[in-house]
Amino acid sequence: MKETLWRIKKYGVFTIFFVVLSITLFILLIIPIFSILTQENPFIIFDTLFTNFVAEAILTSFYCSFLSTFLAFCLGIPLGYLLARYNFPGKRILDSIVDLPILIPHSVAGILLLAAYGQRGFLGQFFSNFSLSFYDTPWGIVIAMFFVSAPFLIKGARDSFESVSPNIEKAARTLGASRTRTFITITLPIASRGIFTSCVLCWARGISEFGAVYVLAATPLVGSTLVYYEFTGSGLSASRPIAIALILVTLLIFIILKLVQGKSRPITRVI
Amino acid sequence: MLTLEHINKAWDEFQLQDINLEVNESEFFIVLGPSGAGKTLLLELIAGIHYPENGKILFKGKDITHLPPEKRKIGFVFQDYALFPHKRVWQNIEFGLYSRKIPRSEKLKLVSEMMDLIGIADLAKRYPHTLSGGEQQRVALARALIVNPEIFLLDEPLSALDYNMRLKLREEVLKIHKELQITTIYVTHDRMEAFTLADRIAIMNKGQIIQIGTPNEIFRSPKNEFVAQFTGYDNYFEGIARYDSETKLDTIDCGQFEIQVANSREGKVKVFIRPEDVAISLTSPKTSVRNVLPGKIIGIQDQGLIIKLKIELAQNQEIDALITHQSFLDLNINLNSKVFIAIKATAVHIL
Repeated sequence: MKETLWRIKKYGVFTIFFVVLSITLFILLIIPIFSILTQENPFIIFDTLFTNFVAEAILTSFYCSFLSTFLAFCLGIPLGYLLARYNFPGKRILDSIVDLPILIPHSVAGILLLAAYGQRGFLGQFFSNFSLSFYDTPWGIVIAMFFVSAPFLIKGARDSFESVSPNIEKAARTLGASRTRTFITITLPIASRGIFTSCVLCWARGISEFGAVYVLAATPLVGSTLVYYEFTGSGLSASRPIAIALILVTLLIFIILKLVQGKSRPITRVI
Repeated sequence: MLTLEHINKAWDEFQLQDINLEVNESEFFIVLGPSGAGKTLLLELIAGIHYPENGKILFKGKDITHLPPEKRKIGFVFQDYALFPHKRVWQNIEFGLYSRKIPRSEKLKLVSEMMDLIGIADLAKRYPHTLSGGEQQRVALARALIVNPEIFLLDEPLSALDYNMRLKLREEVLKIHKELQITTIYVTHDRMEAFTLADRIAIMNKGQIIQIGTPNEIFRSPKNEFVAQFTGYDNYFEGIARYDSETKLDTIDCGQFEIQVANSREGKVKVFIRPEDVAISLTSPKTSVRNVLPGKIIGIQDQGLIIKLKIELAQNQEIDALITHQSFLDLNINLNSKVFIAIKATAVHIL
């Protein structure tokens, strides 16, 4: 009792109140993950992980999301830079459009994509000239993941570029570096930490996508669609080990990436 | 040799209007003005970071108005240092040598010579964020100078530093200029910095150049009210001038007192006096000083080394005087003490 009172005095009611609320939030997040883990026999999870169709689906998730992140990187880095450095008419509208995929339900995103990339859609017809089809193909998965996850990369890149002082770029220019050289040797390396984080986020968001992928390209199966099929076809007990396997592998890779990032040199802004 | 002709530029909230400037070879040229005057924008136009809407920039007779910064042979030093945070000190300095067609060993030699010149050799392997402000600005100086710039541009390089470091680096900048004889354009809002460093000063306000001259011209004969106030003529009166051809002095009637000035103007004038030029005594001084007026102390502000006194000359007519702490103690004055002020006729500036 005395101890508790002493703590309240030390940290203040305000801080303690916020800590209690934060713990509540954390419990709400962590309980579903823990409960599903405790409900399953670890050996079954292990077996599931190495079942062919499960491993294949998880692998498809990973490489499709990787390709969509790559696409988002190539197109999102320039956009992020423009948004960070220039003011132009319609910038706010452009900003809202970038946010749009985050705002709309992902089943709706899937329907939008189907309308555009389907056999009768404008882009679908255009790409069919190169015998590229999106309906129920890996390319459809990539496009669906790209649509919902690119905003994370664009916004992440924009914020990272904004944190690079324009004076640093000006200094490089006055020292004889062209715009391209300044961007590649100065701006990009300084922003790289933030950009790497947003790439990881973009990639993870792609793996976690279900709605848009399901509508545009329900096959081949990825992790999220596989879990859904198993659940509707055979029920909770059949889908649960796959769900856990997916969680564990994703978590593992996420932790590895965080460690890799943590090891890279911290760059403190110079003010 | 660097000439700006009729430069106009609007950018962000700044607007430069009809800037005309000529900076001579090896000159230490200072642009002095309050914040928001457009000084930085002017410097960035010279650097090529922005291009003017119209007008011309000539360097050694060549039109460089639209030349990109990397082709201008300039060195630029920023207020926030703008070092590359992901490069070590020696790599920061080496950056400008990239396009130089010399062997790597030669480059490294140049880098270490430059670090010796600026006195930062022991910092070579450190990262910028581990350095103090003064050290960072030294690195920035070295980095800018290594490209052998023909024009050296400095944008308030010392204003983020503490007072002692500022004085120290001021000396160093002056030493570098003497040694390398680079044409230098230095932007500041600090009038003391301007006075001690400059060969010539341009006073800037609201996007316009108000006056260009040597430090003495600027600080002794300001062209208008703005320059007078910005250069420290804190005392201001209005009056009517009469010229006396016998004494060859103006007598200015300020209503309840008169001031004599070495000038020959007639009619309505504005009178400016520096608080440093106002001497204080307890009895009427027996000197040749023309202006001796009685007054009463109505304010004492201790500024540490110096003391600012506010003296009432007449109803609603006050004058500020600066005296040293020692003379304040010697005079033994207090609020409401009766004193005499003395001002030389040559110390009064009228417009």
